[in-house]
Amino acid sequence: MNNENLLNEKHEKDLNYKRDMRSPFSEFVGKFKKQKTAIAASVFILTLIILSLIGNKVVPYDYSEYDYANVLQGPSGDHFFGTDEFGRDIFSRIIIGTKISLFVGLLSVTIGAVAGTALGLISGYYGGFLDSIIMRISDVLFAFPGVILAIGIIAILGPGIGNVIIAVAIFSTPSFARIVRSTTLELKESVFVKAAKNLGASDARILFKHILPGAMSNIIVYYTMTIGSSILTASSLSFLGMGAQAPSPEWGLMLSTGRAYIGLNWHMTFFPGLAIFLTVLSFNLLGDGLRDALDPKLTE
Amino acid sequence: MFRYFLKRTLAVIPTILIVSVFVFMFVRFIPGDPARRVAGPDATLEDVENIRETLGLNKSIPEQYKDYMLGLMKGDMGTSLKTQRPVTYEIGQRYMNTVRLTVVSLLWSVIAGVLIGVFSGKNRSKWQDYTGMTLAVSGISVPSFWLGLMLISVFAVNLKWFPTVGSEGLKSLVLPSITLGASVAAIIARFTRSSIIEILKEDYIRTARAKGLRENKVVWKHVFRNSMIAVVTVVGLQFGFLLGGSVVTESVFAFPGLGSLLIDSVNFRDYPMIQSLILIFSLHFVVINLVIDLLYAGLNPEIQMQ
Amino acid sequence: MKKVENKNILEIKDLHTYFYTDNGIVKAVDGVDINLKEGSTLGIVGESGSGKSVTALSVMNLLEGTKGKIVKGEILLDGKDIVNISKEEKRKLKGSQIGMIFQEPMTSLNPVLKIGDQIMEGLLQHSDMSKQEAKEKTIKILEQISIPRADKIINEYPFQLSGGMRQRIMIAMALVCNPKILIADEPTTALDVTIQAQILELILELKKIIGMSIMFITHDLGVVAEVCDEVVVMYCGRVVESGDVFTIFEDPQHPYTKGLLESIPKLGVEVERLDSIPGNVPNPKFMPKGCKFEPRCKYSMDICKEEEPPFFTFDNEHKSRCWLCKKEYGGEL
Repeated sequence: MNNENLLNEKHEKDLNYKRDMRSPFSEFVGKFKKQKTAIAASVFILTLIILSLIGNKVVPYDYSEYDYANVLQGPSGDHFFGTDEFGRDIFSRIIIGTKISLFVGLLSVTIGAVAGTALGLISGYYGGFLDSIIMRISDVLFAFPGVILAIGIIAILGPGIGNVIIAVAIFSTPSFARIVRSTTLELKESVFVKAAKNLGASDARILFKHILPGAMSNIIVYYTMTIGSSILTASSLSFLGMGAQAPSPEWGLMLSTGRAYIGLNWHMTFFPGLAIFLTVLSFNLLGDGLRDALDPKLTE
Repeated sequence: MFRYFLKRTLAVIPTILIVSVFVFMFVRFIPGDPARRVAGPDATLEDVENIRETLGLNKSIPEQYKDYMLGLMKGDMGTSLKTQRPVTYEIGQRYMNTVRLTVVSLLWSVIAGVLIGVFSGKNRSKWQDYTGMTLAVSGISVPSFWLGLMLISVFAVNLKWFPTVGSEGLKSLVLPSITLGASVAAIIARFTRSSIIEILKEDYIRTARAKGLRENKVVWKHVFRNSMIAVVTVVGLQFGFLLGGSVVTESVFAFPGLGSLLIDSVNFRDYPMIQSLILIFSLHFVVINLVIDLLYAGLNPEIQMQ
Repeated sequence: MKKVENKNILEIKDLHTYFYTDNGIVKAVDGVDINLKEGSTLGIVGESGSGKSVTALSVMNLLEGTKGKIVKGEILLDGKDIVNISKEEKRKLKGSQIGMIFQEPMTSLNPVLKIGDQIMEGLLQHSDMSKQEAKEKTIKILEQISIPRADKIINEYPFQLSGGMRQRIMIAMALVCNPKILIADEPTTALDVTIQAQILELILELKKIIGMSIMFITHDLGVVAEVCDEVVVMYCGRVVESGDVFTIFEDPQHPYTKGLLESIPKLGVEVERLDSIPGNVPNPKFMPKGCKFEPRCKYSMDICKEEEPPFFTFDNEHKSRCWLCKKEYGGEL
């Protein structure tokens, strides 16, 4: 018995009953609204998305234009974040680079999530041989530290942003598969799934109408949290020279170029890194907020 | 207890075998003609055939695997294409550096992570908690290569407290291990906190309080031990993080370890080296997880007694 | 069950304990007066949500970490206030002056610590005993409550013991420092009937040996009849009736008490429905304005809806909070 349960269980039931009268969505909105940092994070992410769409219209300079008269300038009124070794405006490059980081993060995790969810559903629902095969493979993938696996994949496929997406998608797949599998196993035994089965519902209908929606909140929370770490991994790979190639304004690559100037021109590494940090931070804070709003176990 | 240990240890063997097959297949995954690819675009036909011979690609796949495994058992991992020296030699040169770096990083990050987690958890929703969790969420969000470069910029270039690069002496370990351990400390802090909060709700904690124990005793004797059982399980996963992170960190600090060797090898398409390094990284990961598993059993009296 | 005419070892005066939840304030205990006489056993009876457990936790100062807080009232132990004292002083009372046992023996012991260690630590905290002395005392008390192989059991872990055994360990733990008061919060509810009887017997036996007073919290009036000298009936955070155990059982005045008594299954009597009180405890957010029991009361009158009844006191300190006691509405007073 938890201390919380000292309050009358029946009172709790009454309160829950009243809460249940609201739709799950409005209940979620109500809880999410209380998460101030998560709201701030979503506003920031929204800004990033807008910037990635209209970035080229708002940037003060052409991100790829060389300006040999103004190389390696520190931050100033003209160049907020300074200029790089070719005199390109770092502020403009970072804004244009938003598109790349978001694209890589979202696409790789989406591929991983879709593939992982499909495998998890099959594994959990049908069990047996398929289940053992899928889980064995994911065990093996888990035996490789994530970044090492990604580097291995790139070593085979060759460097490039497309291969980074594939690498990140491959190593995020097994986690989604595990999460969805365990929820599927749970829901498979639930009364409503058994009832639907007895009524003769097809497997596909049960999977997509009953089990998938039940697993959705877990998937969404994990999805959001993984975007942050995928952006980190992808930019690390670009930093190591395995992802985006010059002259792309990819943030990790910009940092990698900037490290040669670390002593005197700190702005070349500072601002692209800050951009990665804030972006990843926002996705992580959003993920935390979603988890707190969606997971009934964690709220009080 | 002994039987449990034996069972867990034996269960790892199939995983190791599959991993070895996977790593063996690695070079064969390369699209097109692997030998051609390894040799690079400027290689002559003769070079390509030489490489095919060196890598043993002219034999049948099972035969190749047999050779590979027999080689491994004799401690032979092939020859580096870059230096023409045995892979084991090159790895041996740098192995201890990476071990030192990861061990120091793991140590400080576990200690700091657990402490931050405990203080945040026991002071839930107070300033200690907010400070701890702000640090933690920043820690999991910060790109390690950026953190590393910023540390170099401030403490090595400007203040000159530490060397910028290299692996000479203890001082050279400080900045790299801060860089490498930061995210692990953050993850452990978050996990410890939520575990502490869960345990604080347990009935037996109320019992401990009802005995009139000092709060410190309640936290460190009753809460801590129980929450550590859960925390130990994530430390194993974090070790994988550290191994992966060591690649980035070593590259930032030009630290002569296995991680920077891996990057060099990828850039040079030194496949025997890449293959062996990936194998070594994953074997360490699997073995450390086994050790953590056994440690978990050691902490849990229910398993101890069996 | 003798009449006890001793001084009060514990006095709870006008206690208000509120919980500040996200869904508003829950007045779990709302103006409660309870006296525990030295050497007696007092039963606090009520449904879940009546505030009986929260009252106990308020006395034990175990609200920390919950959203509950004592907002008003006094609790006097041996005449001395224990609400407005320092945290450190409160801590020193716990375990040494007041011991408590809980409902769930299965989860109330720390799974990773040895039994002996868990019993001993209270002793080590509150006295100057050496580890060896504490260990001897622990074995002694385990033998006292007739636990076999006491010297072995102290080195075992909770998961190796049955529920009944664990509850015995809990009792040993609560009593190892010879407290003046034992608070037993539904100590037998989670146990089998046969074990229940053994545990009750054990508590009464130890009471004779140690000479403590007991506050026995339960929803089961049958248990009260077996072990208690006096009874307090609680409903919605208030005491609705109190008196000695004979009076309450022979001449209950409050309809709620009557309902509880009717719901005790009697041997040989066919009962159609066990819960003779219809409905549920009201939602704390929508408390009735008048008598809190009115919505479920079959004797409900107009005044009950309007005004909360005061206490009406009969002979023998028998009190009831019901308008029916008043002459105007057909009562004796």
